[in-house]
Amino acid sequence: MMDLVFSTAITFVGQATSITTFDSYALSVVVKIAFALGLFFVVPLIGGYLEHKVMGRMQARRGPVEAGPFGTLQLVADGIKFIQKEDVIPRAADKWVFAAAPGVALVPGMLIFLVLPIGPGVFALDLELGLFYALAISSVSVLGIMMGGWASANKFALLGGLRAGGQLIAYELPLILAAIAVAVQAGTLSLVGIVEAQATFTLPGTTINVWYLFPQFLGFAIFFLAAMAELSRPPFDMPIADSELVFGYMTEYTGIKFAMYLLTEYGGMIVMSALMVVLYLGGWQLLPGVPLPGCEGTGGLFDCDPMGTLLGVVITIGKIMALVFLMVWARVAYPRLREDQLQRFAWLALIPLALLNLALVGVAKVVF
Amino acid sequence: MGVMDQVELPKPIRYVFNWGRKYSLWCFNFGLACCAIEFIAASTSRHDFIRHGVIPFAHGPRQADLLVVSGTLTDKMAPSVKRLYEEMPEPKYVISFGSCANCGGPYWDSYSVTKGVDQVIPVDVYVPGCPPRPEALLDGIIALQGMIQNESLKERIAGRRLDPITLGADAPLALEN
Amino acid sequence: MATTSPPGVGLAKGLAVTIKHLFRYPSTQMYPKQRPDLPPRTRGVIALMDENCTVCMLCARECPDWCIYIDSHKETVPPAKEGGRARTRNVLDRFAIDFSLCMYCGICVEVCPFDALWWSPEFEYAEFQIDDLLHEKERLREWMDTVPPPPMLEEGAVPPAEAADAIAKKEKELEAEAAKQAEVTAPPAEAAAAPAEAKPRTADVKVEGAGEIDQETYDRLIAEGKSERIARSKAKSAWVRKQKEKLAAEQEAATAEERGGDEAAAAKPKAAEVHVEAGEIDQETYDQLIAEGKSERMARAKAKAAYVRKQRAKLAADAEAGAEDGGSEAGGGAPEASTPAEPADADEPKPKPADVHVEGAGEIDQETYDQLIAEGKSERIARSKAKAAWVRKQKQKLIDEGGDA
Repeated sequence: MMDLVFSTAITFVGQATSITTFDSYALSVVVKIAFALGLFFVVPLIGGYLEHKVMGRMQARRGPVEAGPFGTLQLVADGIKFIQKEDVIPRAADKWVFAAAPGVALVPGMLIFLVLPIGPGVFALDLELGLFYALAISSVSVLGIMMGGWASANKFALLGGLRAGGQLIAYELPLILAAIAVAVQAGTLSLVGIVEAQATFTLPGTTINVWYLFPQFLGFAIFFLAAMAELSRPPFDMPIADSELVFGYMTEYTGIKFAMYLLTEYGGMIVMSALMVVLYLGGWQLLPGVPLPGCEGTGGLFDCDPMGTLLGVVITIGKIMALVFLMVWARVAYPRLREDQLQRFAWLALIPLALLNLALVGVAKVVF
Repeated sequence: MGVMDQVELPKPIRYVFNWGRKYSLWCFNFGLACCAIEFIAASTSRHDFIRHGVIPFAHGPRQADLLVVSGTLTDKMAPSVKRLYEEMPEPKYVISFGSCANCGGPYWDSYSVTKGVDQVIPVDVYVPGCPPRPEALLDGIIALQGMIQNESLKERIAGRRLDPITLGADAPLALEN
Repeated sequence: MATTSPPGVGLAKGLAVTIKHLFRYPSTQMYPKQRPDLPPRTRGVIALMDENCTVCMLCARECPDWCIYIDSHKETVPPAKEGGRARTRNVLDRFAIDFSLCMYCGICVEVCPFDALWWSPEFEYAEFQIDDLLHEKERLREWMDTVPPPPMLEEGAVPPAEAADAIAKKEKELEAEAAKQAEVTAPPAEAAAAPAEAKPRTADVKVEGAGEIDQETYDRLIAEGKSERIARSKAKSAWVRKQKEKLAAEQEAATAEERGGDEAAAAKPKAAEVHVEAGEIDQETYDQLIAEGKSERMARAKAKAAYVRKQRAKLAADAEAGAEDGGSEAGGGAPEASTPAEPADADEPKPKPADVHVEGAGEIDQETYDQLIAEGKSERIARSKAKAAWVRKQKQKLIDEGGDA
């Protein structure tokens, strides 16, 4: 049994490693798209299940139990249910915009998966401007949210959409400023390049290899908070504040369209966590300065055999899930902020701190 | 929807679809009186109906699959329940929770009390009690889940009650002009 | 707003509380698998013992919801003696409670002068049709199977007057018997425990530690630096283990003694071993030891051993009698001794189903269950009906046993 699993896994990983060097252009495009879509539809489900269970246990509950073994199929059941639901479009709604909005929110989430490296050589594209691409395209999602809020012809949805827009503008700034500090330190915008730079970064004057989490802890904290706010995760979920705005911009959405918004949120969680893993937590490295088994290249991170590749993927997913866990933990522990507190926090605390962080990193880069 | 109420699906697909509906009952609590407290107790850690896939995250009727009417329904409130039910997308289920919701309960001879939710909207499961235990709600949910697993969506949609009174149908829409 | 702690401490506290709960065992009761531990007087559903109902209509009149429906007619009973007056009595035709209307106040149960209405803790009767919530006489009678016995008296409480009388009488008898009974090996001892003593029996059969701990083990574990909680739980299990060992030893001793006593019934005791239930105690020995001032625990253990011994002796005697003459009626007294807990007085009428109490801990009658499932009934309905069937069968069995004696 185990042999079978292993050989299947190795076949898959072998395919994945050869993605970048595939001869036939069309086939390689198909494989890349399948890779990105597969990641997009599977990993958020794992994250959602983790959220259900962790939230349950933190509230002294069990979480889902009955659907599938240990409730693992709860989100699958949700998905099957959503495709059966009636598709309600309010009479006063702007029908085309209403229908297009969830797609506009969902597609950017999928596209980011193209550049995310989740293992040695396991990525669809290694763009020179990978970080720029990821941050730029993640901002498009909010357009879909605002479209949905406007087109619903519902005052709660409209307020929710506007809050989402305001929140995005406020938190995109610290997010990008924190990410720029990483790019400055690494000297590249390529996500794979940033992982490589972390594998070779040593503390000045020593040979101790550390991840960027250590020199840029402030930047990491800013990025984490800003990412949570941008995804409107509790405690920053003012756009869907259920006690004030029913369900915010999602108020009028039913069935599969609603499911697309939900998937956007959970996919966004995975994307932001994966970005944090790449920017601050050393990508697929197990520990700083420890080469992966069977890998060569910079810091023992590239040109891996299948086992090393598989291990790299597992490590990345593990780190992503650890960050998702942190987000769920914050969700359980804290109540929702007020709208004015949210804006005040972004403009008066996070942005000055992010600027300070960038200045410090720039100075350090020049001095050392 | 759209296709599923016209075509009888083949059995394996129907099984999977019914299974999905069975374990994903996003629940909207229409709490009207003391029974609502027992409903809330059923959602807390001791009873935790998320175990059964009854997820109380549906903040609005559009996302809800299951409406639990718990408490005394007055004639004044009845149109709201009716409207809420109509705002829910098909397939939708209703549990009437407690004596008051079942048929007026202790207030059945009051001038202002509706004699049961089923006067206004179709009810799938009646849970008796005054108020019922949280476990009684779980029992009602399990009964409903058994019903969902064996039902045919086509028959359900075809047999659904269509009352002539549809609230808000003639109401002017402010945004249309 | 004055805050006493520096900023951020509250945030950390919040995280600490939630993470602590992550590693605790969740307090969820897995309901359909795990039954809720209901208080004994739970108001789940109202059961009707229709033999007791005299159609006095008190319940229907007192019901605040008017949810009880009663129909009856009058019958003329012919005079008991020649020339006497014919009497009339009410016959119950219909008794229905509308549980969709009922507010579970319990006034009907309290007001019933003949104990025809009872509270049952069952709550699983949600229905798809509202008409099915109107429970007719037959359905209400079925709930009677689930009514629990009255709760135990508190420890150290004064026993009910009739029970106290019975115990005193018993003690006097024992004293008298002890005087004349010097060489009798197997005392007849069937004077039958007082009816009131049938009640404690239900609690007595289970030898479960109600939180007692083995002090020795506890002290040792505490001394080893174990936490209070762990020490307590281990000591509790140690207590149960010791208790069991002791009982087993005593029973073994009893068996050995009995085996050495007679070889004639050497083949029979095998059968006896199958039938002797570990939980039964010999009421007589128990009372005697208690009267002597022995501890409850000791008395129980000894009484149990005595019970086993007596059972063996009786069976051996039966076997002997059966070997000598087949149709002997002389052994009639002996079987009564075998059921000291059953009130087997000669003057008491044959018990009705309602008088016998059977406590089902969720057992179901497999036969009924399979049949209902085969008929296409839902799992839930089959389970509940099979449960009721089990209780009914158990009762019938108890009655049959009592009737034979």
